[in-house]
Amino acid sequence: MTERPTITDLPAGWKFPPGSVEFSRDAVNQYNAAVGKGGEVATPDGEIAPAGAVVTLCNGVCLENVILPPRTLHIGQDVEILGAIPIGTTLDVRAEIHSSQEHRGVRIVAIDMFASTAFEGAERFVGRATLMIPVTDEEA
Amino acid sequence: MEAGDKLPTLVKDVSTPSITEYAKASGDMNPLHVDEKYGATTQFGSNIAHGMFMFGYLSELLTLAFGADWAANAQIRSRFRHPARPGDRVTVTGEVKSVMDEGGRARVRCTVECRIQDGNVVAAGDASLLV
Repeated sequence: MTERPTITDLPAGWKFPPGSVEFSRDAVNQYNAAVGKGGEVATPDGEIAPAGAVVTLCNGVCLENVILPPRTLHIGQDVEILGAIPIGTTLDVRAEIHSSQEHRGVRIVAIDMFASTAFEGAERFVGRATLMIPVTDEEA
Repeated sequence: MEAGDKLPTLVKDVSTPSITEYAKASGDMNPLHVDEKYGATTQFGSNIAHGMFMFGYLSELLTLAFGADWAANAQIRSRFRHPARPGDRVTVTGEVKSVMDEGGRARVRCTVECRIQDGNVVAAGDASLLV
């Protein structure tokens, strides 16, 4: 197994290993257990995964491939949802480092993400996560 | 729907168990979030909720307000400005800022926020969607 890199060592343009995530009933239930069931939507075509769950699980696919220093803060999230995600859908997720800059003792890392349906390739979600990581010896 | 309309209000209580549940769902087990002892050594003085946990509250509010339109075709720019700690009560609110015709549908722009009991805004967002 390849050792995971620390996110602060990665340059702009670095691509995360592609991954996929299934929006199973179990995965959505686990999300709802924490946040609440109010994000669920039932339509004539079936249940749709909560938008918050979509972003959370896609972020997870990316971040499992890197080490985040323990004081990493997620300080911003931009999202464009391009289509509903029915329960049971699998999304393929791609991501890359958009920028990584140190300023006044912290490193700001922006990660761009793209998710599309696994079989049709229909784009469903694009987003940018912004992380703030203190630059101290402790984080090394 | 018109500018100035208020979205429904949600009230949520943050706890270490709910933070841990979110950590499991997200895969983000950062000790800053899930380890009370570690959190006590940080500048926050305790473990804190994930920023994306607060995003989940914003998203839930938008679902309550707009249903499938929010889950199918929408944008949001959100910022996590202040930590939410176990024991905090989060009030989630929103307001419609504009409604404009766009190809026969309504483009709704609104602001949303999570505010804790001391008045600090822990998360804020600008959302846009077609209804």
